[in-house]
Amino acid sequence: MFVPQIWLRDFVDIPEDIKVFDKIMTRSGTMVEGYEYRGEGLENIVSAKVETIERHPDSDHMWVCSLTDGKNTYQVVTGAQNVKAGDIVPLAKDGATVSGGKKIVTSELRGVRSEGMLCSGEELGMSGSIIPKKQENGIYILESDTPLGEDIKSVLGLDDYVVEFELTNNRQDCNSVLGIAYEASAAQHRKFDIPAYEYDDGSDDIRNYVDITVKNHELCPRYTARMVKILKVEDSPMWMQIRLMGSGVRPINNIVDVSNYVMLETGQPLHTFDYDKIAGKKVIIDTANDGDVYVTLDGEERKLDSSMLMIDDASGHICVAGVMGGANSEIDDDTKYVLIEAANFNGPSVRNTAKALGMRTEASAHFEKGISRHLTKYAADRAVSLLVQIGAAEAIGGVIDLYDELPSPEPVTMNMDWFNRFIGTELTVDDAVKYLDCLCMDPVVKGRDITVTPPKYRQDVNIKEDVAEEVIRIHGYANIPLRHLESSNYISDENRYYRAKQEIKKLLVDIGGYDTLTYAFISPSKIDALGLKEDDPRNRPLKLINPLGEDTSTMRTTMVPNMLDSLRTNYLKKNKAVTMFEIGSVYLENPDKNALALDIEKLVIGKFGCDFYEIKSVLNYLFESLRLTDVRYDRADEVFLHPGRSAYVYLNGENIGFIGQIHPTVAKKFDLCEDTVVAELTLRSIIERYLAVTIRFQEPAKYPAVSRDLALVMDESLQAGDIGAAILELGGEFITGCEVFDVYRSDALGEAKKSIAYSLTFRSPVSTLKDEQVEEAIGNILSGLKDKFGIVIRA
Amino acid sequence: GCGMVHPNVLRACGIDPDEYTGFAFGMGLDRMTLLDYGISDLRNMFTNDTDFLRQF
Repeated sequence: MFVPQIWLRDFVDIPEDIKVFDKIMTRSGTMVEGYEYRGEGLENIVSAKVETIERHPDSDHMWVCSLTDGKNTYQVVTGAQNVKAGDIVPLAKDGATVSGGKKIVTSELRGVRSEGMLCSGEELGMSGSIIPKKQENGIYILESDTPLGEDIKSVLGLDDYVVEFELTNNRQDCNSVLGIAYEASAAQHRKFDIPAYEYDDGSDDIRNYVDITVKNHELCPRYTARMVKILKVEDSPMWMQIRLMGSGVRPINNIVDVSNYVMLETGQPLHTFDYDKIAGKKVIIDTANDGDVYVTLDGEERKLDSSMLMIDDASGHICVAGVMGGANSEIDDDTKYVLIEAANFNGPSVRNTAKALGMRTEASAHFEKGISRHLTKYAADRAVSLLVQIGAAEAIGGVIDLYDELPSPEPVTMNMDWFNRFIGTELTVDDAVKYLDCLCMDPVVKGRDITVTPPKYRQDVNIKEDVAEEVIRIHGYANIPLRHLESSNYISDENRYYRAKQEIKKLLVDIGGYDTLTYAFISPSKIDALGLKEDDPRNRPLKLINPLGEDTSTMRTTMVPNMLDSLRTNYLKKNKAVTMFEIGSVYLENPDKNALALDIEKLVIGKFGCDFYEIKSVLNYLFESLRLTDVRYDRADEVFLHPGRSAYVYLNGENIGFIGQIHPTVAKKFDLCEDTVVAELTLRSIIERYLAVTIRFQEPAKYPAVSRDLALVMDESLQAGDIGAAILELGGEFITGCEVFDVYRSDALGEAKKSIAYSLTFRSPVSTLKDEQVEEAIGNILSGLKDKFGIVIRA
Repeated sequence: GCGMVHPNVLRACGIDPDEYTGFAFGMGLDRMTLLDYGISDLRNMFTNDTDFLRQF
């Protein structure tokens, strides 16, 4: 909500410095969202009277004016059409600046000297949506009694800040100038007195004029009405218009303006009816019938239903309660008597009605948030006093005030010792009483207990913790002494899983890996891009019920798309190719529908511009560093990986993931080069195995090893790993190792053939091996491989 | 945000608020990092441009 400080200053002294004001309000709980100086950029603009005005000799739409500011005369050319001799207007002199930064200088317009510029509302910083209709598209005409030569900022009260407050749901009692004034007083440790107004009530009585019945008390807990006799419907005074515009409301006429003014000031929306248009002099508050039709103030025809509360007269509907009036009851220039309604309507009902009719007004917004029933009479009286004050009307005495009950807040008791333990302070009973008194809580002390009765307009202080909050926010949260947290000396178990995870990250960073971070939410199109099979569980991501957008509408089932996106970002930017990795959770449907979704942590590794073996060597490095030896690779069958260059990874016989070059189709979808490799492994399997491994000492070998290299030509379809395993089997008792160190392909080898080079290691635990023993083993290997697989040594 | 746990919440969890009190606070780790290093745009943290990553 927007509050001009000048309005607030009617009720409470506030600091001159806006930053100080911001701080004291925000820190005590009334958050300042922002503030704006209304006179921003308005320099050297004064009030001046138009003495003469004549048509421009050389233009049929411009005028030449002669103005005086009380001291000097100025000749100014204007293109506006609404200026008359005798008008007092804002004159921007030579050297002035207007809103938007435009600088005004003496110049010539079509050959006629112009010593300045006359200003429109917009040029004075007013927004088009709140400038009164009369002042639109023309020079802003000031009141006829405006003193001349005054700075426009003081004439129009623009030397002021408009402060925007953000209110919490439980403090909608602050949704008014008075509510903010109450807070501003308490924040400065002063008590706020709600003002009372005096005026002449006259001898007449509202009961002579109208008869009001409330048929639905649930939707209308209180209906208060007063009446006035109009003296004249005209513009409201400038000071009122300025305050309304500062609050974001467009001035219309004195009657409507007072109604809006009182709503902004008290938080209680009012409605005004032209009394003579009320059929039968009867007002009935009741719900509509399904199918009823009604034309509102804006000329639109609305369809009603039986959930909507209406204000009716003897012949039908005259207002949508709490939302908007009708064309058939509105105030116009001929209105003689006004019925002022200040009512309490059920918030949710108003909200639903406003929503169903597609109409949300300032009034309905107020009701939605919940208003205290106690406000109505005060607001009605204030409206009458204001109308009398500005000479718009005469009061008609009496008030019609209909309600079943007006519940008042219950007293709440708080113990001071409990307070100091709860908050962590050492305040005295007197301290607390002082603050609670400033908040009009009427504190009563008995020993160490304080009993408060919250003011009628507040509905949020109900338990001792609420009272504690009131005390400490006024004292200042920043004034609570800092203390270290005291607790028993409890040391939790070392989180070995977490530490192992960090170790793995460090290992990868140590060889030049980059740790990346991506979102757990993903667009379904990214998962689709992998082309997963229909029945693949990863193809059924969990959907969010209320996603922010497509990009965050499902939970990721694999880390691969995000890794490909990260790689893509760098590839397209032509960054140097590096190994990237991420540890993150993927989410899958739990077969047990009553349990939470499956949350599985994965390690994903990726790089563009490399081959399969480079990433395989990263995995080998990782497994070796973690002392995991039972690792095996086997041909993989994943649609998003290149069929010949991918493998499943088996740790201790369990399939823990895959590694492979991405399929060319997928590469294209992600704008990546084809030689991009990814690997994704289940982290828990790796870590649990790692934590389970206990190192047993093994006597180091006493005797030297012998190594032999074999380059073997075999069918393309054979897997290097399988042949390696075969070699170990055929190698006899002394073979200790068999590693692939080269892969060679050439047409010279024959059709669908490849050559894989193995480095074999032999060692005996009891003696130095002799060449003959090694040769024998090699012989067995080669003949076994030839017989089983047709493998021969490369020539 | 941060604050003392509302007594109704403790009661709903079977804890007597007159015997125990609780407090809780939460801060976005990404935003804390943003502030600490003076990173201009939160999205940097999720784009994974190596020009960004290598600075840390």
